[in-house]
Amino acid sequence: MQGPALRAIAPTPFVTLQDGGRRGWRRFGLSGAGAMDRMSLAIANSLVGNRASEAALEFAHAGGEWAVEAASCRIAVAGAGFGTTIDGVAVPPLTSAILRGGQRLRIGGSPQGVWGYLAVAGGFAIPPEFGSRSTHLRTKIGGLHGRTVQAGATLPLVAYRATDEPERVMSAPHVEEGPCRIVLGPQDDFFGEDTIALLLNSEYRVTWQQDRMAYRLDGPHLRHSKGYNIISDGVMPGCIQVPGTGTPILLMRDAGTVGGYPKIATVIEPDLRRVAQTRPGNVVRFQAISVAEAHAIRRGYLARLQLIAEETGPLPNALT
Amino acid sequence: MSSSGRTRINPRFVAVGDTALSVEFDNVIDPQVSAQVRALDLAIAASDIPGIVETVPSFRALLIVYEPEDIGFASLIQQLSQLISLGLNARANSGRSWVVPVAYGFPDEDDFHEVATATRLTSDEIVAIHSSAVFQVYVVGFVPGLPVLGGLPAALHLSRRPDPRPDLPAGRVMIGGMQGIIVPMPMPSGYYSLGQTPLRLYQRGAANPFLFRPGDRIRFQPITPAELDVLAGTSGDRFLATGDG
Repeated sequence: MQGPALRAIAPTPFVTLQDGGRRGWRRFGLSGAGAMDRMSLAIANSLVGNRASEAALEFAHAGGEWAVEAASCRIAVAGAGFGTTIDGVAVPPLTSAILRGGQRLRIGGSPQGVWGYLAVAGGFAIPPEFGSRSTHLRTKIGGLHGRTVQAGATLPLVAYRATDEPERVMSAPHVEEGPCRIVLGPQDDFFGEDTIALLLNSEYRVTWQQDRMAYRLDGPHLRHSKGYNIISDGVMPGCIQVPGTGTPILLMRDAGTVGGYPKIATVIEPDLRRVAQTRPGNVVRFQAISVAEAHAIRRGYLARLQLIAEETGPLPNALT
Repeated sequence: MSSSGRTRINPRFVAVGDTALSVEFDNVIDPQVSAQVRALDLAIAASDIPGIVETVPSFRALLIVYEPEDIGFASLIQQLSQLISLGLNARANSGRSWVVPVAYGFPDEDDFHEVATATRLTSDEIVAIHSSAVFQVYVVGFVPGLPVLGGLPAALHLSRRPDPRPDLPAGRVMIGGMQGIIVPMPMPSGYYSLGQTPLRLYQRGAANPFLFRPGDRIRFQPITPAELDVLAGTSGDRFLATGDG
């Protein structure tokens, strides 16, 4: 007998399985991958009772159409207010819902952000690779055969039916605003003070050249004061590298592990998801902070991640 | 370097965002500098410094990914400085030695002829020079499992292609600039192909999926194209040089 599965009826082009990412393989050239917005991944998982970094389906701009090949499953969608319906009936935002066999789940677009997550209670019965279920498209490692989910694909599920619990809801997460915080370096000494000031005092527009590997930013060009070739060294997601053209490129989760362009600054981990969710055409501003300040911000961010589980509760009866 | 192989060095510590730190040694590509990077990597692995998530050795820098909840930036630098001040034993991790079989001039004959034209060497000379050099793995990266090899003899230095080739198959032994590489999985590259090795650099699902590590030494040994099939599927360990473990 065939096990329970989620079927992709009409998925959007960039759907991949992602979790909290992999650790320990960067020294062999394998990047960490993982969700572009870990806060939203945690929210979707919390709504269906999964652990925060369980693998979920990540999509860009819209989620497409899905069905379950099982009696039922409990699902939740999070990310950026993606309009979600089951057989045409709207699923309220930040609320779990039951998808029954034969029903259609549709996840539409959102004017607010880029990345969304579809979590299923119990998770996907797909074996991890290098310690994670995250898909790394360039190397075809992890996820569903290392690829984007295509129409007709089935993703095996752990649970045969949704449990008999009340649906869960969570209060809207605090929306952070303000500039994106960066720590200067590791190669800020390749740029003059005027160029650093330019980076900090200008608006940079997110372009359509955005994917899981990198975001190309449009704004004042950053001039190198001593060339743009460095001896290649280790890079991290969040690094803003500046190639010869002077156009900054922000490295994202799937970026390689070593690079040969000077990195003027690095976006701090808690703010990387905010830039990731910035739609093409919208702008980001940068603010330089110290490592100590970054660590204080990180403590607050980790505390908020912890709170997600506590802020998720049963849906009040009046609303069911 | 002193006769004991221990050396005093003053690297630079630079933040890479809020979760990583780069320890930068001299700004050159050089076997001695690479040995310092590896020695620090090894010393960290043997130390009890808390909060270190993973490390990434490259030509002249060691990237250290850490968990700020477990160790502060200042404390990490202080403990690394202490480790370095004890003296890094650059000879402790001299890496493993490999003899990598290559069918030279196969199957990309055109590449091989282009290298001959650019370097003004005969095919036999290219094979003789390339297979007598001792290469060292400086970095594993760019794609997973790809060894970047230092030690390419100057006679074989040549500029990379202006246009990278889109899809090179696994096992190609290539040169470009002042370096060599071996292709672990299909990838684009602007390097020139000298031949094909039957060795599998990446074995999906294996306990040790990547054959080479930074610090390993590699010599190439000419084989015939017919021997490629004979050697295909042979365990990578068979190509470790004798007496090395």
